Amino acid sequence: MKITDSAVLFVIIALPFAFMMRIKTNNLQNVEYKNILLNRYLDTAVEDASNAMIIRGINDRITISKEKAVEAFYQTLYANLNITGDNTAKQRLNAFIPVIVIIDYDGYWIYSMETYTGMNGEKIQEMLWKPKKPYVYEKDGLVYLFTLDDYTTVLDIAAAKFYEGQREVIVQSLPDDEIIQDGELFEQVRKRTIAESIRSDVNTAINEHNKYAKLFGITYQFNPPSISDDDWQRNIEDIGILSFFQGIPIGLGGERFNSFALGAARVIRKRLYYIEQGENGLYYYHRENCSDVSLKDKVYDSREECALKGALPCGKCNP
Amino acid sequence: MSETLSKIMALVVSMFLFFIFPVENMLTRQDDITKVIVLNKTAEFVDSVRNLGYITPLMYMQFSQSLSATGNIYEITMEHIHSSIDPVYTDPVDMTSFQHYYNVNARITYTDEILDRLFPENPHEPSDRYYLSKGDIFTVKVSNTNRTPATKVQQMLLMSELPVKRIYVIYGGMVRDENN
Repeated sequence: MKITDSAVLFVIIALPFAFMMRIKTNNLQNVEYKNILLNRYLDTAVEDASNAMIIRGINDRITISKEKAVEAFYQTLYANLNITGDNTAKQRLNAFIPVIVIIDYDGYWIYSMETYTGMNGEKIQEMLWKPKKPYVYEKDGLVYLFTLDDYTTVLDIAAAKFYEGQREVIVQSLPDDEIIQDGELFEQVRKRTIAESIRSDVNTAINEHNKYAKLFGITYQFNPPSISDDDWQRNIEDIGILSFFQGIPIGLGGERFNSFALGAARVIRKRLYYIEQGENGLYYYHRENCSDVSLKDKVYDSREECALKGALPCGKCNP
Repeated sequence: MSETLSKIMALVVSMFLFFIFPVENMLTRQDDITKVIVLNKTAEFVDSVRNLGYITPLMYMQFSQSLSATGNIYEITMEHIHSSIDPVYTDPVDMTSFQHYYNVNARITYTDEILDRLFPENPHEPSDRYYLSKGDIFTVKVSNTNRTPATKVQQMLLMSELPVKRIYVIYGGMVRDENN
């Protein structure tokens, strides 16, 4: 065989492979793009939900509306995916969201699939709110009900007594209790309790969801996400909404979109600003952790408030 | 005579088909995959900055290290558009000239200044975090500055200069949160 013939033969054999490689890399690019896009949609949806759930009443009292949060979440999601008017597509999308958690100050709600018998004896399956669960920790006959800050209720079952208040307040009432006495241990136990109780309920709900996903024709095996303890504890620090997405097909090669998003309402952790006179005699406002702040006498809640006092933004911390 | 010429021609053509075509093909695919990795890493970095509201030296180091692992040299351009809330004075040094309202001005900080904060030149100054505020816009642009192997092979084949930028990623968005 001539060398040109074998070269042509080689090309004929190699060309399909090159072609397949091209299709695969194109698919890979597409998957990556879709991944980023869906993550953006999910982030926007939880952000909108966390804004919608806060209802401010008289005296800045805050109530949480979980229904409003979920409504805003789905509306944004539908709008972004352009399926606002398409009920079938909505139902299909909903099947990929196994669980939504609303994190409140003193407990959390789980929104997941449930089966129940209707009025006429028929079986109904739909997403339902489970009763609110508190952040409970139990040790040596004492039951601790934690919140997102250091306000705690301790129940002494044997003595049938309860103590309620900030940790510094109830520290005198419980002199033998090491969790209440030790501030650092208290923080650790509190954070772990909150993260653990939410995590275990999320995992249960996701495992349960497999049963229902089959009915929607989804063959994907839903698995509890692998999120490290640190991430759980760092993420859950404020009132917010946590939602999980699993198994959305996004590529030709069976790629799936798995993600979760947390939207925090920023109610408990506030940002603080301080005004101080600079060396040149002008007044500047600083962030809380700016190294130029020496005396923290008066706190301001917003940058606008500081500016209305005539203070300039600090050049160092750039508030 | 003509026999020899056609043999040389056949050798050149088969050289091209046997070696250069597969190599060029493979290198182009490699560039495509690199693009995906760069986009992924950039999105990861920008999203974590948007969620946290600050950049730590470690975050930037990890980001640039993960980019350099692709074997190319990149230029990372960062842009931070800060909405600064400034009180209005008719005369800035005269405290009494305050007009009792404020303006929201956009102040843009670029790569050099951000990096100077993260990795100060003065060794006595501690390396610090760079803070952003909620509502600011943070954008990162990444482009390659070296010729990728695919570009080199194509240049050889076409015998002309080709643009260096093959991998070009822009990713950005609004800062969602502030943490300390």
